[in-house]
Amino acid sequence: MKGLLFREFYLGRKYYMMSLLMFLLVMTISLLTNLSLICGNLSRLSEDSIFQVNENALTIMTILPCLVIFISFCTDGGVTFSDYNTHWLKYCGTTPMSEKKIITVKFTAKIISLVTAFIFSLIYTVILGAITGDRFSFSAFKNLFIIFTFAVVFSSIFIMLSIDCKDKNAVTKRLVAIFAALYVPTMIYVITLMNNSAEEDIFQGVVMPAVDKIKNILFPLSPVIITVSVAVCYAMSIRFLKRREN
Amino acid sequence: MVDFENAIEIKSLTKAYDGFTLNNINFNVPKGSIMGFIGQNGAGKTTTIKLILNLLKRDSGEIKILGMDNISDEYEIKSQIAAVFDELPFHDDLNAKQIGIILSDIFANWNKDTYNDFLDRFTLSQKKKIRAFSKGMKMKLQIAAALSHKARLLIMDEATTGLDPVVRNEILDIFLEYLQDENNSILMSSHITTDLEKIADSVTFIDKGKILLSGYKDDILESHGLIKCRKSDCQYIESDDIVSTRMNDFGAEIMVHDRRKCLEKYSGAVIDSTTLEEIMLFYVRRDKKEWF
Repeated sequence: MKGLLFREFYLGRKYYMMSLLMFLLVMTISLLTNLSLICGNLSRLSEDSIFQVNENALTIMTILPCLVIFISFCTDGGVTFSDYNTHWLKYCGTTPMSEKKIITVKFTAKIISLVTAFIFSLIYTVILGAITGDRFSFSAFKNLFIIFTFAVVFSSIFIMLSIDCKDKNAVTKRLVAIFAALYVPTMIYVITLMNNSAEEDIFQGVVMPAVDKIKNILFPLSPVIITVSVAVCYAMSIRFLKRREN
Repeated sequence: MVDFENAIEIKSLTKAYDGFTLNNINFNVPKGSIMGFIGQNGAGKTTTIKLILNLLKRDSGEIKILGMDNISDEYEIKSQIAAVFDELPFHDDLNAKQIGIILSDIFANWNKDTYNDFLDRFTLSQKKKIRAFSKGMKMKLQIAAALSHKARLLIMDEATTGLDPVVRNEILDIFLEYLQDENNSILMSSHITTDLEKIADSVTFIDKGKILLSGYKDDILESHGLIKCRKSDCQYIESDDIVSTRMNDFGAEIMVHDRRKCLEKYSGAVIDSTTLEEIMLFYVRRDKKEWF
């Protein structure tokens, strides 16, 4: 499978490199901001009563590099679409390569890239911890693992849809539909929480505790979620990859 | 290894689409030979090839490749055959060396040395990206890839279309070399009948989803003839002998399907030998009988 995996990464190399550069850029900004908060200009500014560092923005910024690398590593930079455009998949149908092998290569490549994203995020979190003085904790690992779980689910769905739709626009439409379907109940849940709360800082007082609660439920279930989503999307992708026309 | 006489055996193959039916196709490609598969656009050549490769579901019939069933023994067959299409199926960001690495992962019998020898012979750069290759170079690369895993059967779909005569000749020479091994065979679909006249042992002519002619090329060329006569003389030729008649300002050209019989029957007539292209042209217009 080495040659086929090489093909996946080589064809997606520009996309992966760009994603990595973006990650490094956002990571640098985040680390410098945190460094500045401790011993730089921002620390002096935050002591000033006129300027206060927005805690919510800082929380988002801290996790942003991880989100950047995980979200971008979820897709394959259009390799699967080009497999259709260049007739590679038609050619595969004339070789002894089975549908199972073609899909296995796609999923293996994705798992490898997401594990890479996880390692990069872990390194970033450790460096951040060293700067801020917060030792790398189980809670940080838990956060990363939940992001990793979501990334695995999303990329499995992405591979399945790419194989089924063969076209970037069609995949985008379906993903938007899935997100819209998830967005509505999430917003209803958040608004209900906000309405029932007397907290002044909605983000720290309402949203974050709710996120923590969801994280505590999701973390032990993550291995199951990963296994089930990969297994279902893998089986469906094999079914969708019809080498035989009707 | 399965013993077989015909590299491809097709019996009563049928496939119906909306508005097109491939009807009861029967032909064989004998082992060690090259068969030309000719017909105009939309005649059913690509559909037949897709059915042979099991890229398309057939309605009925039987296809045997290298003595094995093309569905139940699909993967075993596909490790021993190679398909070449008119377009290179590799991403143009790759180079020849990388394609070798990828294909070695797909074919258990991949021979790196054979592949490199072909690249050298075709003077194809190993490191240059495919996007910088000309159409001829891309076709040579595809043929190098096809012949580097000890394929026993080469199936080509319009592979020489759009290539200049020099490249086409170079490729045809490779095919003749490939056929030096009597276990190897080629099925070659093409519009360019002159190429097939040069190298094909047998020819199958398909039109509107039906096989019109199938047999040894020399027999087909020998049996057909072209009578050139005045328009007024056409009436003396019996319609049963005629495939179709082409009228022009100077007279008429009548394609007959049994030249020997016609030579005896119409003793005064001059019956010229014909070409595959003319045979194809006259058969395609057989329903009109007379055309311009």
